[in-house]
Amino acid sequence: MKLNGSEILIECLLEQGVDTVFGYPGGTVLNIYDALYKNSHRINHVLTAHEQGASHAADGYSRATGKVGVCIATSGPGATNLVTGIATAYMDSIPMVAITGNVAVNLLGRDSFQEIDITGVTIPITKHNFLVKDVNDLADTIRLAFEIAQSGRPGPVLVDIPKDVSAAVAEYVPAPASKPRPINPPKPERLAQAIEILKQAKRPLIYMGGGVIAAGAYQQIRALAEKLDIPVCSSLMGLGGFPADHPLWLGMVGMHGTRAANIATRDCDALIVCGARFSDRVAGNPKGFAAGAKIIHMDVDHAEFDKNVQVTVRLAGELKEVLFTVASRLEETKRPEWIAACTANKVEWPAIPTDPEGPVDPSVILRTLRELTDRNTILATDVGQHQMWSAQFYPQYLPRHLLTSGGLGTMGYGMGAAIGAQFGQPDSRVVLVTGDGCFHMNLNELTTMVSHQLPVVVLVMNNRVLGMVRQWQKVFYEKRFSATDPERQTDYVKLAEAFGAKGLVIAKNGDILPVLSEALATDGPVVVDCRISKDANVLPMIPPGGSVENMIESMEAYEQ
Amino acid sequence: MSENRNLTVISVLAYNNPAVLLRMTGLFYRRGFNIETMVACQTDRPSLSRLTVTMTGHNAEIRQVRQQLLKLEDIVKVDVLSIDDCSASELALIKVSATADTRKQVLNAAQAYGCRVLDIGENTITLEMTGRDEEVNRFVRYMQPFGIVEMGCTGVTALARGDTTIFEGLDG
Repeated sequence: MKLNGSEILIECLLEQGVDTVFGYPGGTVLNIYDALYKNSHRINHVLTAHEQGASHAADGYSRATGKVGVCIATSGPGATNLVTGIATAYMDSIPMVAITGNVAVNLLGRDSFQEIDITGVTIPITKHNFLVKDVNDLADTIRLAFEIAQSGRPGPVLVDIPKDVSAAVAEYVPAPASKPRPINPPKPERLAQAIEILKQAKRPLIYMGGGVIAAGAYQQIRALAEKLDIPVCSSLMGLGGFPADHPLWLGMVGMHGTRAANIATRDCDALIVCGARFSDRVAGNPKGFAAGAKIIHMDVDHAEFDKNVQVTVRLAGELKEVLFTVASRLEETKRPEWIAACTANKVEWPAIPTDPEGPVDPSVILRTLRELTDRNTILATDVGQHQMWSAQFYPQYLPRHLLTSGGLGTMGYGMGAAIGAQFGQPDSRVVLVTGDGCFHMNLNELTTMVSHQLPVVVLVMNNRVLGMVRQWQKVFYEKRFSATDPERQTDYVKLAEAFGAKGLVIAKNGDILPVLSEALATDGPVVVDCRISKDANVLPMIPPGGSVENMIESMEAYEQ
Repeated sequence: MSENRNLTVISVLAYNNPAVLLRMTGLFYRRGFNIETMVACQTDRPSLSRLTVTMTGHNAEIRQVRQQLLKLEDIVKVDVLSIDDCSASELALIKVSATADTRKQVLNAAQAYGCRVLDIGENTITLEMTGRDEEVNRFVRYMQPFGIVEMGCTGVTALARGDTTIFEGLDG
């Protein structure tokens, strides 16, 4: 069958099971958009307000569904606007295929209108990228892009298609969907070494990360923890991979992690690290991290071993298989004393204040939201204080229900991600928790939510300052609040209404329950201005480079 | 991590795709690995290029470089060779000042070091020296008193000793 490049692209996306793409049209993708128009009954295109929103939407779609997210942008500024979204996906290992148009092959390299070397730009933030100069290579390149995005450690792949290539005609031969490449199992002697360490261990601990979610290894990690009676903590990226109401759960580890998780990493004698990478937000002091433990590192990416922390055993492989094999070769064990010692460090949450006129506490908003929403609710966040409060006070019970930019820490991620998630999981409730700083970055996507009447609840934790940066200035810069007090006068209710959404306000403690209930009952986008104190802090906090001994648990105590 | 930082040869086999050099050098740059020399060439297989990099680092650093390189889609194989345990050579072209008085001495030195004479100008002689890094350096030092007008040098290219090749395990 003879098709033009754009039609071949659409057919190849359909081969891969793509039903939704996020994008923005422009000069060099006119042919592609013409093919999208003709195929609108087969593939849904979601127009965002800005290409960055499209890239985050593809990412949010992928995180919420496990499928490869797809975004499309034109050449030049369209392509560069995708960059932050691609980098966000890269840092969090999210499978994505970004399609960009480019100027015609004979105009490449001549600084043509809206020309940019986007493959050059994105080399450091993609697993791989392609510039397709011949329409005869297009189909196989798209297939390979999907294969690479899903194989091993997932990540984004970019395919740059010059305008004449999207118009040129070639023979299209259908093919099945790309499959991830097979992964070699770990070496038997290393497995044996890991088994021996775990047999000897008296105080083992599991530290899991986003790799568990990428691999879908939730059952296997739970089975290992339960069989060997091992407490579990997680990085931000791993939240939801282990149910937060499980008796072995200790919470998030690291800078803003729980006291229980951080003390357990200090005290354990064997640490199983599963699909995690010892980021500086987890192992602030890499030399002192789990210093008393033998470390067994399970990961699909060989380059993660010994990158940040030297480990005892490297178990490279597919996590489901590695976890299953390790669990199957060990006897069931009970270690009540160690579990009791770990759980004794769990800190009870304070009682929810009852004074209706009292101030609005962000943790109370999140705890109330948790009570009002079912476990299938997808929580997207932006980056900063509200993100950490969301991780701390909105416990996760299921994987792929917390969408947050952990690695890159992208302010402005949330609006696009929430849109993508709502398209990917139309039956789930999607809530975005953002801050007034982050919301101002990409609030333009409210228009996308309104156009599609997406019932997304946007909770703006409005402290009128750039809270996390301000907190660091408070702790490390003697309260010199440089550029963190923007004195914005935004009226969020009017803003929401101007876009065609609903706007609500939580101004006092007594508003939290009724306003959240009203927001959740609304069939369409709602923005809630949650007026919190500018002095609210994220605690506990381990200062950068520090360990659990340096943990700040109360700002008053720290300031004295 | 008290082990020595050794000069190591990293022998890379890569698909001869556009930007493969950019992808490799970019990786070295952004991860803070320091390239000492780098040589790219074709192999007897038209789709494959060989890139030979030398760098100084601890074993753990070299391991990290290898694993990061292997993540690049275009890279097929990465062999790590110890500089002392491989056949390694580099090439230097040296234009030496040679007056009527010194011309004979320069030519004698070239012969003693096994150099080829590539060109003789009115006041200079251009020599080609190949060998291991230290041999080339020794020769350059020896020629310095005559006056080196300019020189150019390739980096190290190297092959594993014995019958082993970089293609091993590829066709299976």
